Amino acid sequence: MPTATVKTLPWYAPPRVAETMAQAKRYPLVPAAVLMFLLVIPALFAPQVAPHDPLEGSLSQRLMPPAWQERGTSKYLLGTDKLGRDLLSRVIYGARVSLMVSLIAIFVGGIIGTVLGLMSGYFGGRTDAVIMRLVDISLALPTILLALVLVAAVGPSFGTVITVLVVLLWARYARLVRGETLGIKELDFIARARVAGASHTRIMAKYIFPNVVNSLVVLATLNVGYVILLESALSFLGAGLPRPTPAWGVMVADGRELIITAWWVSMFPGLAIMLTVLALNLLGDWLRDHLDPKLRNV
Amino acid sequence: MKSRLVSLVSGLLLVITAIWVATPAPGWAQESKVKRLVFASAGFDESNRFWTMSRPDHLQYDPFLETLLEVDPKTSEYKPRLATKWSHSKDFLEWTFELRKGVQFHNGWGEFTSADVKHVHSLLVRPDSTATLAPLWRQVEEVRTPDKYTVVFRFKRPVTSLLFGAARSGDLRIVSKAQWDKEGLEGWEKNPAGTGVYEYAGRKPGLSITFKRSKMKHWSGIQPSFEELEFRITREEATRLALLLSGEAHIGDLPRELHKDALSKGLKRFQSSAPVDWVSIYLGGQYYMPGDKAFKKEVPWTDKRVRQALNIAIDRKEMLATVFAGRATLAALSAWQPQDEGWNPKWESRFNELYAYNPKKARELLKEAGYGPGQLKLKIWAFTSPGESEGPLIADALGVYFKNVGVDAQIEILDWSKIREGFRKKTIHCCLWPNIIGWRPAEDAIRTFYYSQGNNHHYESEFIDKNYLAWTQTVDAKERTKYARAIGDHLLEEFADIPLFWFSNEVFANSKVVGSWVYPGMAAGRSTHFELVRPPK
Repeated sequence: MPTATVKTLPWYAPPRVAETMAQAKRYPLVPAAVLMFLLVIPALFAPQVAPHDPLEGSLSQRLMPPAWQERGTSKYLLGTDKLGRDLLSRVIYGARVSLMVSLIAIFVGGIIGTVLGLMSGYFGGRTDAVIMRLVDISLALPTILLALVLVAAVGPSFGTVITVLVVLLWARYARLVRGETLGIKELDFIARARVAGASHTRIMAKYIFPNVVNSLVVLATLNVGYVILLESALSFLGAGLPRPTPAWGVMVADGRELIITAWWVSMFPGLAIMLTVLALNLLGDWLRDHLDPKLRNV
Repeated sequence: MKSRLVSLVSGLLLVITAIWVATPAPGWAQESKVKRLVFASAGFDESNRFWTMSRPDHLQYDPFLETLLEVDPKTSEYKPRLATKWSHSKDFLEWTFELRKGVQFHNGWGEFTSADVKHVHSLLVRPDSTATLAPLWRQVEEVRTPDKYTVVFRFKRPVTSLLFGAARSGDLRIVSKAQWDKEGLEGWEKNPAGTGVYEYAGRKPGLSITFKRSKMKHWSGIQPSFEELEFRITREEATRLALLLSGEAHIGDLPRELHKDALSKGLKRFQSSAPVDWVSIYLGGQYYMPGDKAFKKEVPWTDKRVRQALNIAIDRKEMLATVFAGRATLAALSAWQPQDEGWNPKWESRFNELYAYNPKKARELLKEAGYGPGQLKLKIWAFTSPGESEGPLIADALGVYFKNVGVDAQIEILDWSKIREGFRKKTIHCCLWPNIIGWRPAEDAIRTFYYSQGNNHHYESEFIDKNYLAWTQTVDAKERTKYARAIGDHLLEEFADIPLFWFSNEVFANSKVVGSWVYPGMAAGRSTHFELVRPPK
């Protein structure tokens, strides 16, 4: 009995969609730039941009819905939280807080990790073994648990959050830098520097470090989004920044019981977290492609 | 004629039978279709060692461990329970309780006698006892048991408020000495025996504690409508609401923020018969006893002007209308309600004069005390109390009010145990904390919160100690009132703490499962008397 075979034709995107996708490929930074502009710029100029003080509120104005909803007012564009504080102002200041925490943690963790990674890769032997075991331990630490223990011991604070994040981050930098150093130290120019009498510190700082900077920048950029997420998670659990700091995680936590009756309390900070992380990841991907194509598959 | 007579008699018999069937015997409750009543609770410190527990945690003992006296669910009066009669000597040094005869312990541990009462007292005064009223029980000089059904407590000093401690409001939970002698602590931990209408069935730490209806005929004649009772520990507030809405739990305590939502979804609100909790903000580190090394002058609120400023920075009426949805009353003074010993009617008007919301004056007072805008920084520690979860929201609201007068407050949500440790060890100089506290006699409240030899330390002074000791040494009503009022006046005029509100305990229930329930709120554990929960008719 003859059988008919049906061949599936390949799917082609409609011309307009295809055009948009091609544009997006040509200008991958555009969406990231737009998001960054919408979130980061107001954060940098928060005191000038925010319509209200993020800590001041009035209980009589509590749980006002966003301006476009019934009972909403243009005075509080995104509505108010359960203490009558302006949500828009808190989201703007929250961006400032999240970015500051991320940048400080990445900077400190990056410095520690880079120094140890350089030493580990360059000296090898026992130094390498000890540092790499420390890296293993650090990577095995349960972050949230560590944060909860620290908070129980010393109380929630900016310092506690930074400490937890640094403990988590340095190992990633150390491992990356070590790997790069292992390859670079075998190159001819390092041997020549050694013959010329350069000290170990000079070789690491002057000859190896500049060659790992690109990878470090890529990793740091990709980490910003991750750290913001982590900081928000810690704040959500009460192990992050103390109240009344307008941290996005705290704001999401504040609204979780009200999700049915006052959805905006946790929705807007949640959206801010999502968009910021998305923008930073897009930026990180772009940087990776341009600065360190080797890491494309990482 | 005969057939009419027969039909009349049979009709009459039918009516009588119907009435007889429909009318429950006294104490005999209508049986519920739901076998297990589930109460979703915010949780409590879990342990069978009742002598280490604070009063709110006694919820877990309420169904199966009885006390000498009852707290009437409607009127909050003390009534007979395992003790049928009580009396005291004229000097209030001796209290005698006549015990109920024939009460049996669960699991065959024999009859309840005066030896059991003596045994329970010995548990409450053990070195590891941290019960709320342990200091009261440690005042007992001797426990005498002249016979099987009489017990006499002799105190070192006059005690007028013993009924509170011996009733369901206190922590004298009757357990079997016979079980303790035979099985010790291990046996007690495993399967504690009480005399209540419910028997202990078991616990899953962190999850639940369950009870089953006792098969023994209870001395009170009360028969619970539900065969089993479960306290399911559910820390998340939204989850408790979800459990109630899904029918997995039938009663639950919810924060007032969710009350509107719960009511709109058809849940029924039950309220304790009396306002039984007060909330005050305590200011740590006020140790003014002469020579007290814990005193630190640099604590900002050792300056009375700062204390007054913090008090008048708060718009209490706005807070009452919002945080408590209008379901509370203003407290002029911590620990005192108008019906309490020593209450002075003038306190209310004086409170209105001194504590009225006035942010402008608050800023001026702070400036006078040397704190310009943003210069006074303080911490507020908040915790969630079982069944009363407003603590963190109150702390947040305080932060907003303080910000409005130029005070920067950092809020930390901590475990109650950490805060308790701070104010028991006199190391809480840093902080203010909202505390939700169950009603207790004024004398006991002053001992607990202000007397320098008490358990808790946040505000102490020589003046309070002197008057408290004089108060406790006399049984003359006039004298007692004089000393109590002197203390009250002092606390009010000195702005010792920030009194806020009195309010009732409130819980929500599925109206298809729970038709009626009356509880006083004053009993230890707040939402108590589960044996009185009745299904809808």
